[in-house]
Amino acid sequence: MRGREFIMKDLYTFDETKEGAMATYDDVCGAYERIFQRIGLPFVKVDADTGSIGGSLSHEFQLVSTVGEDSILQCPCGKYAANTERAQAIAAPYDPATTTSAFQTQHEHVRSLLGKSNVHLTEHIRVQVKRRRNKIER
Amino acid sequence: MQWTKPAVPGTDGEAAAETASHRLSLLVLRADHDASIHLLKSTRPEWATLLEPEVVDVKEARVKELLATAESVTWLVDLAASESLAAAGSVVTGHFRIAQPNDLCLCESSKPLVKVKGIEVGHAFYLGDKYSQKACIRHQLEASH
Repeated sequence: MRGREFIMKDLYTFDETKEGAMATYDDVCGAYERIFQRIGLPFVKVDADTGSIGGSLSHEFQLVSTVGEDSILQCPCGKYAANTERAQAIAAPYDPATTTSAFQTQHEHVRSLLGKSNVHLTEHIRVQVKRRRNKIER
Repeated sequence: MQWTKPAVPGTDGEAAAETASHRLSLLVLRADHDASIHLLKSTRPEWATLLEPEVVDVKEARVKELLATAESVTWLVDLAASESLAAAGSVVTGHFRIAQPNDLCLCESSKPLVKVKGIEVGHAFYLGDKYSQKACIRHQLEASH
């Protein structure tokens, strides 16, 4: 999306308090919704990532389309939609047919490495290793 | 403040220095799930510096090697891989996976989520004071009153 040429408008607002800023945020989202409703664009308001721009709250307005490049998970009830990477949900039951055999049932081994914690692991698990760089202040 | 790779006394190997300069997080996921880097990073600010995950078979020697040289080890257990919310010690449970279609919505309806593609036509951000603080906006407002 960002690599394409497109026309956009930007609006920046400043408020003296967080409460004021949240009211403005809701006003702006409301304005978006009315604009899209009036021009007849079927949109979804999606819980979104603030990314490199920063901040703590963000919503995208997405036009659902098969040629779209953003992936959204949406509840049919209409109350919840989120970018796939941000979405949180209750996992559907495990289906061994969809999983490669390499990562099945490492339960006993992980159990032994985990030691005496109270976490009871489900049967079908895998492990990812993440390393974090040490932050050195100078 | 900047990133540096600390030198390790008594070693001159690149690999040894790299391994020793890391704290290790092991993320336990259900076998059919993938990690959400986004959710990991947004759950705790100190995880913002997580490197991209390396998926390993936990029986591999690589895990022992990493565990042996890690400065500290944190276990992260995804909720779908855990039958219990009780966590102790350095075990953290949370929603660390990428949600999938047919996962159940957390709303009252608990309906299966549907995956759709979208084109972004609008975007709103609440930025807090990230930019206004740096630009001394409050100072300027007070001066103009």
